[in-house]
Amino acid sequence: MSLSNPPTDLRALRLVVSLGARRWLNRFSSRALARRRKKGAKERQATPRKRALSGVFLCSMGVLFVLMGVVMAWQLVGRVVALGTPAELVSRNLYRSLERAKDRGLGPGALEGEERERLREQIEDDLRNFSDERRSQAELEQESAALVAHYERHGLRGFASEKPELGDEISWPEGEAQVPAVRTFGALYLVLVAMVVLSNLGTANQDLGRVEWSFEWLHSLPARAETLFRAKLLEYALLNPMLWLTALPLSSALYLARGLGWSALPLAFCAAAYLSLIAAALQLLAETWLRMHVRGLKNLQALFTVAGSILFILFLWLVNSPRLPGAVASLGPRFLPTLNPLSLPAEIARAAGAGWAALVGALMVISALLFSTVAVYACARFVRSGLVSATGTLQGARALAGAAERRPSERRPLLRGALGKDLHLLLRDRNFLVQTLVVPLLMVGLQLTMNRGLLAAVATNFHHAATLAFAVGAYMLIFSAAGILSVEGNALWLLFTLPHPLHRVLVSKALMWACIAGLYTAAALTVALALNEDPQPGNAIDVLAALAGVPIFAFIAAGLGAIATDPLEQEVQRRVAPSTLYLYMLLASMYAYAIYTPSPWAKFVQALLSALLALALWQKLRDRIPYLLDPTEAPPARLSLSDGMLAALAFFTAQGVVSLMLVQAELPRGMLLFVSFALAGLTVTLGSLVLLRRARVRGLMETIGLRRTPDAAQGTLAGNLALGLLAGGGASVVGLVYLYVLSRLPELPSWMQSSSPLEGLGRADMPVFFLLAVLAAPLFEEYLFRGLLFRGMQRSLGTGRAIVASAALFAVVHPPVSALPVFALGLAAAAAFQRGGLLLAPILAHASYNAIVVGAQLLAAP
Amino acid sequence: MSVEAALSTLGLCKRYGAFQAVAELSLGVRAGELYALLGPNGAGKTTTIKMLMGVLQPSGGSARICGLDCFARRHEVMRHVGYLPDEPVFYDYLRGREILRFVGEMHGLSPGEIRTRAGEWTAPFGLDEALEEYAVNYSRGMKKKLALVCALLHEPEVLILDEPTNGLDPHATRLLHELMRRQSAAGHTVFFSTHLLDQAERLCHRVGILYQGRLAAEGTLEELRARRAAGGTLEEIFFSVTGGEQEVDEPPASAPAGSAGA
Repeated sequence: MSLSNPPTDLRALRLVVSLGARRWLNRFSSRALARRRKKGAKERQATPRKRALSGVFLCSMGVLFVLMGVVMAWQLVGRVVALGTPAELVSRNLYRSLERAKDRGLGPGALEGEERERLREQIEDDLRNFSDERRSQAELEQESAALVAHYERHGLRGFASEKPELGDEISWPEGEAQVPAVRTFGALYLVLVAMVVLSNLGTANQDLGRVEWSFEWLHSLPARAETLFRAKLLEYALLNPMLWLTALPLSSALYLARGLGWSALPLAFCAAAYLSLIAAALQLLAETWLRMHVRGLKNLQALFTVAGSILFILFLWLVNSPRLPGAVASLGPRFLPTLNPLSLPAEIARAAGAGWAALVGALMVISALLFSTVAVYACARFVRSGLVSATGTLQGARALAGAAERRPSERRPLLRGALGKDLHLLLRDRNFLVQTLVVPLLMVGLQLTMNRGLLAAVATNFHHAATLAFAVGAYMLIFSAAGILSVEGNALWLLFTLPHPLHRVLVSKALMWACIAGLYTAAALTVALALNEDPQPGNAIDVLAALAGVPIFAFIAAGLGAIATDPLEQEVQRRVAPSTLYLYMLLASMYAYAIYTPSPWAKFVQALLSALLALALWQKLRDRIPYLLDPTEAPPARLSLSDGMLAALAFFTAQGVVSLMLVQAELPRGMLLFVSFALAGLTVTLGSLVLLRRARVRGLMETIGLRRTPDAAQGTLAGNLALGLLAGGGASVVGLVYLYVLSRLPELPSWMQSSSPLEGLGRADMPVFFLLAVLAAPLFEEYLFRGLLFRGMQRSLGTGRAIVASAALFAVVHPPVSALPVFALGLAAAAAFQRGGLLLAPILAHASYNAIVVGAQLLAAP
Repeated sequence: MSVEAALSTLGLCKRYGAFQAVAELSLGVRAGELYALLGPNGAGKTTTIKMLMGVLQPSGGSARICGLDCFARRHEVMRHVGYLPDEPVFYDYLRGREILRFVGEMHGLSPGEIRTRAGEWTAPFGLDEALEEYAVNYSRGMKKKLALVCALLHEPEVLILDEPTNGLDPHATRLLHELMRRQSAAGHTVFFSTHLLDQAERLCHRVGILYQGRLAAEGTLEELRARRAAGGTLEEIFFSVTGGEQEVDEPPASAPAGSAGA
């Protein structure tokens, strides 16, 4: 007689939900608890997983995202609220000018002639400088006159800013004027929910046609199907970051603008919870029905991905476009009934008395219950005849229908080996294919058609076009290159059994994606060149920058993705952390911005920095590869390029921070420079040494050159001295010759003309500056560039290339006018360091170079 | 191959946090030998095999195959090794035939060679029709057979099999045993882990019994019998080594007859 006595439905639901909660808790606490348990505890605790990116980083990214969302939502609310009112939507600068006019006392009512003209001119200026559209002079005058008349009639209340700031007031309109705003938000919510449901069906699910193993396992327990579906519904509703992170800021901004004060936040929470429940119900229903009744789901899933992406772009455009086209704003409300379930959270904001609020609240509760009950019972009904519609397993030698007719296709594959396998998988997985190859085109295409200004800008300004071309390629890499390791999935063991270093396999994959993305960029560039009305030789630099950026960012994406992948993670969705996506997009936008700026020096600098970043990432990845499938071991700590780059970044940031802090002290400029440099240098040097020692990097002091190795190849103290002076002397010769050549030129090329460090220094500052140049700068800069960066590069690039690369990096952080001799100094110092082995050599080289060259400049200066 | 061991470990250790999974494991397998690694569940068999495959880094000691360190020079070692995991997992959208071609190409074989060599094995194992099907749709036994053919493609000198007959039907099991004997006769080493004691008894030359991460006993059957002075069968030797000699309570009367616990 079986002992099984199934619990009631409610208790079963509680058990399943608490099981899910416990799983989450265990996942996050295994690390913390493992450290706290005493050693020698009898039971064996769960092995803490190695984590690539810390939880702190992820949390802070999440908070940042929410804050950004609130700012954007506030701007959107300001724009939408102005729809029903007679308010004119104007740019932020124009609004500020009008604010200033109001403060000056130019109130509503007719203005005097001179003041009127002044205001009109101000408005005309703002329209010309801060507006997207180009208007002729006549149009400008006409429009500014009309705006002045509007101001006279309504005052500041007649205007609304396109980008209101958080401190700005948004006045909620009265009565009928609020209807367009509320209805528009209702339509927005509809688009949001549709987008989330479609995206989840398309991309988030591993395979629409398969049941999760955990769900199948739960079905073997004596709980009713309705209970299990209810638990699944809750899971979908709670774990829907896309919806929560969008609906929360949107609703909070809406309710805050409505004037609900502190109750806005809990209400926003309720609204977001309501929406996610509905979205979860729709998703569950669609998923289960599709799985039971439809074959060939992969193609359908690809369609969902496309639809979800289109809606995502639409949503972004609706939220961001400064002038929400009136047509869209009125279309939505016309076709939607006022009280449809998805628009209810917007209807709460309507100020129509307590009765209306109560009605809306009741309707929300009713519809929430309705949606969830229908979804749960319908799903339970679908799976009445079995959880899966058809078995997928091939049992033994049972021939499948039609297998005999299917002739084995012995076509030669395009590529052999690992690349061929990846291409095969790409072509077969329609969803992935669409996500990788089609969605980028979609994004760009829709942007170009919706944003007419963009097309014009691309045709006239080649920088714009090159930036866009690069962006297409970079976007294409997000899903493809970042997944080079995660696409292996649980079959990674197979690669370990093959006689190829895994590192080389990954590099070839990244190169393949670089080529494919490069095709996209090249095509976009060709179109841009064809459209270009005014070709110039400078365009070639942009073309080069865009094309060079693609392989660099392929490797950055691949490196980030591979480092953030945890191959031992069982749940496939959680394989790659989304925070790497944001980091990648940040880096790509910095590079895109460099293409956009006209200065070729900026482009070169950004390209060099990005390439070094890619190298640093791959160095870290290469260290990790032998330990990928090992749950506990991590690679031994070694001096890496990333350590040097982080230290350099910290150094420059610290300099800025310290000089900001010292502004109060009102020191003379030379002293200020010296103190901030020295303080920053000291902190970063000591800090980095402490951190590196804590990480137990082996042979740290010897590598950096602070201690002599017992090796006979090390030079003596005297030898280092001699090498340093020799290197410094050689570099100084180059520097002096360069100075002489420069003095002979009639004028400097434009890209070299930037501020020299000697500007702004008076006679009195000279001795301090000299001290800085000869004492402080060599000490800290050599530690950073030779001790950390050169040594970090050396183990991956080899000595020769590392010398050149570290010298190049050294050159770009100095003003462009001194780049060439500084590059020579970098070469000489690195060579001296390599030969001598102690930091003394490059420090002396740098000091002597500075002494001679800066001294020469000071003596020559009037 | 010389008298030097084809596969050897010296003081091999593996720690997961505070837990010692494998401790001071030293064994050697000569070319042409059939070596069975036995042990109860959780004894450390799969961990040892993963260290031999270079997937895990040993916490101490070393493992060598054909004289090369398994972890430091993994990709050179893999030229000489064929591996069958306990639960093979394959790519979603690749057919069996394509997976075979991929593995063969990565080992540097030409398409013709791959076809011939794979053809030798797929027919006896009954895989021919299944090769056209996506590997994700295979049952566990089919996946194991596919993994076995992958392991044999490049005629490796050392075969490492993790629970090889686990999931295979009787035909395939017999075929596998024949294959293992033939490989051993040809001078190739076969190192396998199992807990099917009767099969191990019939098949192997030497046996190593792993218990709680340590090599509790090692040697040919005769040596073990002599040392342990236990009864004749491997089963009894195993129990005496792993301390599993517990008296089983009389089963309750309602249980069907013949359900003796072991």
